[in-house]
Amino acid sequence: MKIVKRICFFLFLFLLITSCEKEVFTGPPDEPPSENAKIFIQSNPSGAMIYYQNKYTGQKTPDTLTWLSSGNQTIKLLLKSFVDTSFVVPAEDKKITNVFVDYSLNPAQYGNLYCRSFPDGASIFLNGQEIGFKTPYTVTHYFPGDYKVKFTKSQCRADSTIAAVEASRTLTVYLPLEDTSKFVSYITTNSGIPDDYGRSIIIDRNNVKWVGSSAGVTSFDGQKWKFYDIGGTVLKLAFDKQFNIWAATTGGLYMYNGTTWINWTSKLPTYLVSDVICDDRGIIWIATALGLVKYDGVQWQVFNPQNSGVLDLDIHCLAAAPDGKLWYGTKGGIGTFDGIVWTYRTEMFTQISSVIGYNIKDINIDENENVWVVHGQHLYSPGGGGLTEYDGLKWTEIILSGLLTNEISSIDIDKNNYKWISTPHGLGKFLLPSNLKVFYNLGYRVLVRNVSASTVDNNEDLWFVTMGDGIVKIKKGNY
Amino acid sequence: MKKFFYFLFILSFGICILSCDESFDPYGTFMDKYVLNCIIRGDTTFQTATVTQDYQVLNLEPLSNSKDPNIYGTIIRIWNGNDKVAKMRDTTIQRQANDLYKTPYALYYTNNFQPESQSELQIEAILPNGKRLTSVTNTPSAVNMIYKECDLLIPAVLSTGSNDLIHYAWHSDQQNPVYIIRLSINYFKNENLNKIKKTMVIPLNYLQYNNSYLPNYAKPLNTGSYKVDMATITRAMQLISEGDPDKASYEIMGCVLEILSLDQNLSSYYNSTTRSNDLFSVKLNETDYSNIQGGYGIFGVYMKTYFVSYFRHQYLQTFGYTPGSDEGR
Repeated sequence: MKIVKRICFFLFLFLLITSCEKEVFTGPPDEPPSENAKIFIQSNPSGAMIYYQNKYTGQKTPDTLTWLSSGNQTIKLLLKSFVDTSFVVPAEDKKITNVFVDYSLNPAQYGNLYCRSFPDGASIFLNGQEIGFKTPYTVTHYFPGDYKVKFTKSQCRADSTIAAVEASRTLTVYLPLEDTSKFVSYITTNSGIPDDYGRSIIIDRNNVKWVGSSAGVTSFDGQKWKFYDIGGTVLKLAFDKQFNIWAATTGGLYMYNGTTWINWTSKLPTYLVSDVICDDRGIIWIATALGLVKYDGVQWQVFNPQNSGVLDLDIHCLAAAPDGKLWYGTKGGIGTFDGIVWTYRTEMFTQISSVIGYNIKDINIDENENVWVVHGQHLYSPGGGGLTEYDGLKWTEIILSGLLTNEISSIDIDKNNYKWISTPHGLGKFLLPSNLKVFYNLGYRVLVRNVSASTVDNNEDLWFVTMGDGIVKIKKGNY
Repeated sequence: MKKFFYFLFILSFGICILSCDESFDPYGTFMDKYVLNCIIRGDTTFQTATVTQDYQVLNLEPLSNSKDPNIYGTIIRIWNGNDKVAKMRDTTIQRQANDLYKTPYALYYTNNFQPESQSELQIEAILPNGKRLTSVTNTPSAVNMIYKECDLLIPAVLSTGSNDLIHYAWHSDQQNPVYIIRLSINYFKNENLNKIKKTMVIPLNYLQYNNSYLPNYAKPLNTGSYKVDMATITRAMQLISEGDPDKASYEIMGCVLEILSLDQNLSSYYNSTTRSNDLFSVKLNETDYSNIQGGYGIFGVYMKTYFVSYFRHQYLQTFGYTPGSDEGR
């Protein structure tokens, strides 16, 4: 009986264990649900790139990292100009952990500025505020970012730059300051001029400088620059007897009466005007590509080969002699007009020189009534050109042995009868050709090149304009 | 005592029956599985990805499912190294009216990611339920044409026969590479003073069936060479204007060989789908290749290389076509 009982018991136990044994599904067990710990990260300044597990998440502060596992999470923030910041955040499932990183509390996040200038001793300004120290000086503990650094020093042109301070680094700011004790250069980046391509410069009775350039006309009263956009490249400027300003441009003829610019182009045979002058009688003479034009204040009169002794239509330049004679230069020669008689000559130039050509670029007349003529290159002598002088009797080629080039763009004569020769490679000055002095450079940053025209102002400062290097003033006593 | 045995017997019988009393489900417990597909193109900054999930039907017809398996709201990021990352934006595309699903098609894209050659790419997709799908791949090595073994001019020689071949060859440093080839003719059709750009794909060959020609396109290659016979090119040339008497209105520009160089993942995927043991076997088993951790799908990258051949003008003139480019310049 005991055996039966035992059999029954084990049978019962076996059935109990094995009766439900079945295989319903053999796939992988389902994965536990994902943890969703969140970390909200803010920073000052914001915009730091958030790295998680050493990979950029594509997120920037302030932002939230989601679906993270519980436990300590290592986060790294990268921000331009700052040192990297890493930290560990204990994250908890289904909870948001807030993190705020204030870069300003970390001394390692500050940088330095080493300020240097040449010459030393310049006052230092940061973002417009003078800090009370002079160069050389190291400004310490500045938060990363862009700072406007400005140095000022007496007899030097103030200069400034933008310095990007980086954390844990010393940035050197070095600015060589232009010495303005002897000369000053004006270019688009340091003054109010609209372009660096000057063609002509004149000084009015108030010592205001008027500059004609590729952009238009600019005036400078010593303090402020004022720009007049009259259209076209201004080739020449001139005053008349009423101190109106006349401008010969590639777009026509304009006159400024002190308040407005008047366009006189419709009175001309063409809008291509290369020169304008006012003679001692107050008559305005205009050189155009289609003849010579006279304006006496009432009438406009055009002289061309059909109605006058002008034998070449394309007039380049003009000069008025004290005796009332008008000199005009063309691409083929030089002529005069005394009000009645026209003359025109070409052949003598090739007789006196093998390098100068017929092409006349500029004419000027000195106080002794000698005529100075700038020539373009000779047809068979490329790179040539030069200067001739007419003393009323004969033509003489002027050899300026100190110049690096025969290519002369203009001749200007100041009230002391000095001749100023503008060339691509320097500015020449002479009373007698044998005493030529040439300015090639004026120290750091200022090269004397591509000079277009020059003049001396009422303070006896020399001004010249260049094609590409703006305007330069050489102070009295330094030229 | 007997009563005890009866009681024990009834108790054990009852326990046996009751303990197994449960409804039997032939499908088992349905487990959500997710599919991430993203094929990175090496020749563009525009990349796309899709995320879907599996579904269960109550019959044997998979298309009876009506619930859109597309998943919206997934955060997808692609890394090229650790510092270059692109977060994909989600967008939707309207389905056609006769589509099985009625909700818009969900698509993820970025237009700011172009992989660098021979670098590691990683993808991570975090689904709205936190499920994370990841994968890693490496961009394939660049394909370099072996110019001296490529025919720049078609036909290679003027006195060619129809059995002559046009050859292309290239090499790459990649291990076990797979290349997908497309050879095509680019041409313009002048219609009413408008030039319409068109393309004719040149197959590996044409199989003649009754009176028609059926194109037989090249399968993915494992070797760096491709040949096509002139008869196939000539047939493709004829098909360009078949039935159109105005042959001169066709301006033939050139023949472009495009080589898609697949990475290891895509190569494995293509091999699993297109390869069989031999030429005479038909592959019946379902492809289940996946390289997505945490789900299914493909994350791969391919680089594209072009090579342009030019047609000899004399050859084009036999069809009456207008040459659209200089010969080989």
